Amino acid sequence: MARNRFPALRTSRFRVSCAAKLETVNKVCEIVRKQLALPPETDLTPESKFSSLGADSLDTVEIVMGLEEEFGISVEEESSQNITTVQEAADLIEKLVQKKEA
Amino acid sequence: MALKLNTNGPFLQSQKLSSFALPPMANNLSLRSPKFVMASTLRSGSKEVENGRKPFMPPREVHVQVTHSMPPQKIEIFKSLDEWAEQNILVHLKPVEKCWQPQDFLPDPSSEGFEEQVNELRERAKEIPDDYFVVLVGDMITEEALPTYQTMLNTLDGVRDETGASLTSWAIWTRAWTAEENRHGDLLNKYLYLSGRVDMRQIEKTIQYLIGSGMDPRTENSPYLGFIYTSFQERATFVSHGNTARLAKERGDLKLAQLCGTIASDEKRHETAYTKIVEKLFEIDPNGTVLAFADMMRKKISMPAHLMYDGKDDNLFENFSAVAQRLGVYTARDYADILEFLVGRWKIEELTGLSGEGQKAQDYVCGLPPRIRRLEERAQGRAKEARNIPSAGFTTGK
Repeated sequence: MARNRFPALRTSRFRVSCAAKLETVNKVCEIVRKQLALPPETDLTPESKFSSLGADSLDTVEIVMGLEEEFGISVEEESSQNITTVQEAADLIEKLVQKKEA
Repeated sequence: MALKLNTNGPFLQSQKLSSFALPPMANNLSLRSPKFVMASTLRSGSKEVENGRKPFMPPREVHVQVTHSMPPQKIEIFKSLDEWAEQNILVHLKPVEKCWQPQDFLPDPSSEGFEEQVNELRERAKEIPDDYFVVLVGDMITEEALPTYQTMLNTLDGVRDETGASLTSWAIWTRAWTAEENRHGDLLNKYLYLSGRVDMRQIEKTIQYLIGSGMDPRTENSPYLGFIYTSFQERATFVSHGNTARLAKERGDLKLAQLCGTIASDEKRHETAYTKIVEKLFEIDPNGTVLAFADMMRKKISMPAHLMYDGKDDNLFENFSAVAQRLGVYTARDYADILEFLVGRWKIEELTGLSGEGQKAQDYVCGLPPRIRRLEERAQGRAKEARNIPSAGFTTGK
């Protein structure tokens, strides 16, 4: 499943299931920034690994909880363990939101 | 009301472990917070359990084992506290002449009524549900791994018993503490043996594996880390044995309740001693001690028996702690409560003169209990949802 590295090129007409909207990615970034209290200078990209940003296991769980609240989804424990970057989080969110709306 | 038991039971006489009767989702969900807080059950690999392990080998710690992280000049602190320890810590030991012994709570083999007393014990034990026994057995195995804990205390710089008969207050404490704890395993062992409700051989094997495995609680030879760890643990065992006592009482087994309650009261005395030591360290070296506290909490307080193994079940400890969680004997909520208690006991919020790192540590430990509670509430909420699913098809236990 190819990951889209250029979310800015996506419009809602091209709903490819494996890529997350820019809006989603940005929201994830916001939640991660808040959870980890990142100073504004800290670079945060879709590929940023939570652990490199200083997140411990508790932070990661809380990030997932924050995403659940924000997007109204429920993340299975097995899935949440596969979320290690912003992109992975955004992709999973999209998948779960689409499933919910289906 | 008997639980429909239908899967493999670690210790029970041809009975099955009840937690497997839960639908898989609820089982996982109820593990979510304990999985976080009980480091041993973190899937991120604190145990070498996954592929690549030879069969029939007990789990091992996978974290890098760090040694002597306390700067050697701090060893002086403990030497200089020897007299203080004699006056303030050794007083929490009970003189042997005043101590209870296991025989006080067990049928008396030298009496005419021995067999009758044993039968009474066995009749009472029949009324107690399997999952309670699972927890009691887990507790007994933990207590019986005492050599590991005495060893752990003797790894600590500045306070170790250098000869095995050293007369420093620290060494006297460690030996006497060990002697008091030794009665716990003995008592639980004899009770379980007489009860007839458990597979003793399996348990004995498990104990042999566990003592062979040892444990590294990540205290790195530092008495700061070590005594923070033991403070937490003693309170945890106090809570846990207190709960098994309460549950036994609710089941109408007053003798068992008394047995567990007596063990719990020892643990409370030990908790008092260890928290006092750490309190003194906060007085002498607040920055170093708060950093140590945060460090232990980040690493998570691993349970002494987390390497428990019986020769066949790779998830033995997880299963045991899941039952303990479910019965309310020792839960993620207890973990948060203990932490919160220690934050209050050691007056972390009032610490002053801390370095930047020290303040971060202070903020971390003060903010941690509510975070853990939130996690636990969520897991409970999920587990509840799962139980409400009609197709779950199981009954709640006694």
